[in-house]
Amino acid sequence: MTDAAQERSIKLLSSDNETFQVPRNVIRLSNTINTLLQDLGLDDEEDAGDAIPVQNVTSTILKKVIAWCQHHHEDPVAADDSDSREKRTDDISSWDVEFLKVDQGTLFELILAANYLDIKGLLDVSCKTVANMIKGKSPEEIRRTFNIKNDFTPEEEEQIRKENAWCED
Amino acid sequence: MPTPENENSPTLSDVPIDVLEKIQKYLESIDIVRLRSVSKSIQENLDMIDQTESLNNSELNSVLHFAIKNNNIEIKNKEIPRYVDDPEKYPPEILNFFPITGLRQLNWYRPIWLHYEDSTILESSLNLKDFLEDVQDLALVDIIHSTDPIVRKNRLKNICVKLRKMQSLATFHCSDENLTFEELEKIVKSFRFNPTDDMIDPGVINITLNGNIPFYKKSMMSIILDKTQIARVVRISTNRHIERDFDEEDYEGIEWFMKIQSPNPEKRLELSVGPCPESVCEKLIELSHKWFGHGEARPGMIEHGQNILYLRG
Repeated sequence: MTDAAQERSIKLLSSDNETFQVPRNVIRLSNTINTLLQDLGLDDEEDAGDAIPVQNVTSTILKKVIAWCQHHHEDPVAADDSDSREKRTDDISSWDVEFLKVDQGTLFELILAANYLDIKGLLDVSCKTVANMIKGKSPEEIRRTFNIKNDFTPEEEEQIRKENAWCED
Repeated sequence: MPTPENENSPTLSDVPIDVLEKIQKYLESIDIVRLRSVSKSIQENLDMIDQTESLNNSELNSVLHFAIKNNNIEIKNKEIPRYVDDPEKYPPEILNFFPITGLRQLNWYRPIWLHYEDSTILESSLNLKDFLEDVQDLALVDIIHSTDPIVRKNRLKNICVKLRKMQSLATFHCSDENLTFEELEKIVKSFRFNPTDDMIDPGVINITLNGNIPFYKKSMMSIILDKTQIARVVRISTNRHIERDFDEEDYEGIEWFMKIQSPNPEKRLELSVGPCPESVCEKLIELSHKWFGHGEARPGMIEHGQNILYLRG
């Protein structure tokens, strides 16, 4: 990517038809957008043309995603994810903690958007946040936390309870 | 903490499998077990993730398949990337153990034992499950090794979760001298494999508590195992890894073990004796006849000079 390309902006179109002008070096955190621009041969163009539609991402969420990218676009590139890497969840930066203090619907919308746009850092930090909400909770507490319906029959539930009794204190 | 907004908002059960997999990677094993109990869809998705993880081990499996067909092949660090890149966690003697001792045991005396120094390696070792299933009743294993109660508790839970997933696990091997009865009981309860007819030695729970673990402690543990519905055979070892005669104290310990075992006729009982003179075997058989009315010896792992004494069953 040339310096000129770094400095220019591209337009993103949310699912509810709102257009966002985003500096190229900010949205570079999205691998989906990077690949799209490269595949279309637009990565080095002065004018990337029409707004790129970001399906399934509403303007409210896209605005937050862009804000996250804006804050983190100068972060060093994270090393490739590896299963052997330590999976800490207590290393979320204070800025991200504040950023993710949102209602649960927004949190999961952000996760889905980060997944769709392939923004690794945002996906990591939001998944860690969800993991922290799960840790140490019983199945019933997890259901309550995430508003999940228990669709096991009482017999199935009893069976699960028996099967898992060994791992409970 | 973010709270549910309304019923139409996406929630944990709406995330795609790859996202759930990512969340799962930040969870402790015990949390995953609980998460599995939350709803059917989450349970199904976690099952699919498990299957995918197994497939991801194909590279490692192919190396090991190759090794097992060529008994003299040594697995070197470069051939198992990702699992053995830390020499402190995975020292050469452990690497060497598998292709050499492991293969020999496979040929002569299933199951294999794989030795690992801590439960971070257990994660890797249990990834060998698919490979191990190809050679049937195999074995894995843990060593808890830590005196920190919190670390022990976490490792124990992780081990239990992993063992729980295994269907063909036949042997539990532990050389952790600090293993308590409570910990052993938890481990035993986590077994749920289904012994099959084609297993050479089905349902063995082989407590090979090495080194410094006192014999009386093993004896007590054998009683715990004897009472479970899981072990068909209880085998303990005498810790004699050097070729020498037993002294009176050894015989007293073993006789005490036989005495406390004699009222429990349900399970086959075996005593694994390390390399020892024939006179020791004869003496032990004599004691076995005294307490069980039966006793016979079979040379076990010839290379190890070990005898298995069938005391009962």
